[in-house]
Parts: sequence; structure tokens; C-alpha cells
Amino acid sequence: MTSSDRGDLPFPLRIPLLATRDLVINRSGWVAAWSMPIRAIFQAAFVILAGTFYAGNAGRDYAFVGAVAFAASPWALGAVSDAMLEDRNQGTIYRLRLGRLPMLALVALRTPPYLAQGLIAMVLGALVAGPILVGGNLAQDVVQVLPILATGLLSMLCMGLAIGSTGGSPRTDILLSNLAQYLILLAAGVILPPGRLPLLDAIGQVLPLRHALAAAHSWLAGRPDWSQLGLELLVAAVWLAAAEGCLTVQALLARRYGLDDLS
Amino acid sequence: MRAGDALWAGWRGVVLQVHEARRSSNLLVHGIVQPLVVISLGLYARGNADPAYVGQVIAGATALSLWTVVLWNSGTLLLRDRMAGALATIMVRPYPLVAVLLGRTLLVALTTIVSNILVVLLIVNVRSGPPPALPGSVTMLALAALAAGSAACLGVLLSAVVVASRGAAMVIDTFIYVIFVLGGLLIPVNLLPAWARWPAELVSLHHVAVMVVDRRIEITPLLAVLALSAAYLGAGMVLMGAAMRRARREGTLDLV
Repeated sequence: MTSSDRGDLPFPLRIPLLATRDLVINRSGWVAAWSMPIRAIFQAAFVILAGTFYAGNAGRDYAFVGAVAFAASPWALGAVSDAMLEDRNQGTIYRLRLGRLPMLALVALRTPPYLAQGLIAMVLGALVAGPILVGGNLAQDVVQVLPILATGLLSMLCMGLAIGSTGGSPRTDILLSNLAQYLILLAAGVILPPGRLPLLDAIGQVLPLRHALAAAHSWLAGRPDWSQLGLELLVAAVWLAAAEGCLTVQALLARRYGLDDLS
Repeated sequence: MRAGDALWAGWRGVVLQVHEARRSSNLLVHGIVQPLVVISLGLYARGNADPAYVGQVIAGATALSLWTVVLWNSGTLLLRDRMAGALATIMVRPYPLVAVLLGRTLLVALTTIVSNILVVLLIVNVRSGPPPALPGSVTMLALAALAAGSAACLGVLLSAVVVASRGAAMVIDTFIYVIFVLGGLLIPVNLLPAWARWPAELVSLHHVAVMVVDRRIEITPLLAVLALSAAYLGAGMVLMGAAMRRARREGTLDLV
């Protein structure tokens, strides 16, 4: 496909293609292609083994579901927050703001490569780490709940967009996305069932994965609780609204002060 | 004179690293938040955890934290210097590069250990129940110093690998979880399949964690830590020398 062909494509297709190309060229896509599966599998393995260490075999089986979902976090949450980083580094944010598409839609259309990586990480966690550490039967069951866990992928993506939209320096982005991942690990019920500390429990309600994991566990226990899926999508919407709010405030500040470097 | 130069270079490395550390969030994230989360999860999991288990969680969490900070901070030191244009200046000074690097990686390890101690003190004081089974203060300080020295040597090796091998910087984060799983730091090696237990023997921090859990300095793990640290440092120096020769031959520091 030539660039002129690509120019004829509608925006919703052209931007993800360009984002994928950017990932391959500027973000060492081919190195990522072989290193990403290793990281995904070992991250899932660590969460499973931590569950085993903390709470025995029951803890291992519980943590396996969280391990599969959380395996996507470096891409769906961590890398997504970089979706605007290059524009900030190059001083081209104003061009995104002046474009025909709303800025949030444009940035969101750049995220499919990260979404795909997150999804692949989840599948690898379920199909590689799972059979080795928890056995094939549970791994098969968890593969069946992957569509449920994918709603958590969506909410992580929205949280990543919100972090990327804060307009801080690249260091702030890294700090916030790392803190977010540790908070999810602690309060979203990834390794241990939630509800042990009221404060953490309350924070966990608005974190990605919390309700998707609850829905997946209820499905695995034979008592599907679909309301949790709705709550997970609501959490995604809240983080998306936070991203839009950050971008709106930045646009107002940029118009008032005439600059885009708000870090 | 040579030893004096090396000491002076090591000291300047420490000072340089203090300045750099002020601008990094790595210590906050991996030196404070990470051990806080790992230890908290370990305590939530068991309401009335026995002191030996709590000691094991603390030893593992601090070893994980030290490994993560060493990988991120020490492992990318020379690369960051090169990107900032400072590596050439450091390399052409008469002071040995390895000594500068060792001073810097030592500071990285020491600050991580101090932050970990603060986290542990916080948790131990906030938590109710019997105190964790940890070594006495003198033994603990000796083990902390041992861990810092070994982590500094590991940092030299990682930094040399990253600056000398094409692509290493891009995949460095991949190795964090490899050691998390196989390194025998938090996860006891007996939870791993039998064929996956041997890599932990090559990780010096695993042997330090074993001594913390056993609450005494033992001769076999101590010798293992010293031998592995010397091997890390030696391999780092060899790699660094090779990278410098290559840089001179090719006329560029842009090796990766």
C-alpha cells in the first residue's frame, strides 16, 4: 500500500495504520515483537506465583485470572499514556488541537496497536503461563472469560489516555502510569480478593479491572454477575471523561497563555 | 596513586549520582511504592501471619525493589550519559570509568536500601501483631551493606551490557519479571518447576534474601554473594573495556 492509497482511507482506518507504522519505526516495533511475549508471560507468571506464595493453591487459582488481565497493563495502560508523547516532544500538540477531529478521538484512534499488544499479552498469560503453573483445565476456563476480561483492557486504555492527557512532562507520565499499575495491583483484586480494607476497597471501585475481574470470577464460579461488566464499562467512561476534561482544560490554558508546554 | 584516583573517581561518581537522582521518579516508584505494595499484599493475604512469613515477605519485597531500581537506574546510567552527551567527557578523564560507575551504582543501591528500610519501619510500626522475624540490627546492617555492594557490582555489569549491546536498552524491562520469577527473591524457588530452579543460584540477591530469612550470616551463601559479585564486576569491566576499544576504533560512542 502506498502513502497515497493510505491518504484515501477514512480517518478511523488511516490513523491506526499510521500509529502502527510509528510503533514499528520509532518504538522499535520488531524488537518489541520478540521481547513483548517474554515480558507478558513472565509478568503473568509472577502474579500467579505471588498468589501461591501469599495464599497457597486457592490463592494461585484466584490470582491466575488477575494475572491474565494484568498482563496487558504495560501496553494498555503504560504505553498508551505515551500516545501524545511524541507530539509533546516535537512541539506539535497545537496541530492536533487545530485539526478537524476532536483531539481525544484522534489520540484514541492511535491506541489500537497498544490494544492489540495488550490482548496478545492476555492470551499469552492464559495459554502459556497458565498451563505451566496452574494446569490446563483452569487455563481453558479462563480462556473462555477472556472477552469479559477484555472490558478491563478497555478501562485500562481509558485510564492510560487520562494519564497521557494530564499534560505533564514525560517523567510525570511515567510516574503516574507506574503508580496506577501498582494501585491496580493493590486495590483492584488482581492477586487477592478485594474487600479487606474499606479505604482500598473504595479506591478499587473506580480502578480498571476491578469489576471485570469480579465478573470473570462470578462466571467461573457458575453465578454470572453481568452487572459487574456494566460497572467496568462505567469506570472506562469515567476515565475517558477525565481524559476529555484534561484536554479541555489544556486547550483553555493554551488559548489563554499562547503556549502548549504546560509541564 | 592509582588506588587514590579510583577512590576519588568513585566519590565523584556518588556526587554525580546524587544530582541525577533528584530528577528521577524511579526511587519513589520502585524504592518506596513497590515494596509498600508487595509487603501490604503479603500482610493482607494472611490476617494473623506468623513472624517468619512476614520476615520472608519483607526480605523478598526489598530484594525485588533493589533489583528493579538497580536495573532501571544503574543499568541505563551510561546510556543516559551518552544520550545527554556526557559519556565522552567521563571517558576521556584520567580517572577510571569503572570506578566512577561503581560509585554511582553504589549510591543507587544505598539509597534504595535506605528507602526500603523506611518502608519496612513504617509497616512494622503501623501493623499490629508480633514483630516480623528479621535478623538483629547488626546482622541486618551487615546484610544490607552486602546487598548494596553486590547490587553495585550488578549495576556495573548491567550498565556495560546496555551500552555495549545493540538493542539491550529496548528490552531491559523484559528482564525485570524474568528475575522476579526465576531469581528466588520473593517467590520461593520450591514453587517453581524443578527445571526452573537453577537460575536463582546465579542471583546474588537471592543468597542475601536467604540469609535474611534465616536471620544469620551463613558461610555458603556469603561466599556465593562474594563470588557472584566479583563475577558481575569482572564481567562488567571486561565488557566496558571491549566497548571502549570499539568506541576508539569506530570513532563513535554511538555503539547501540
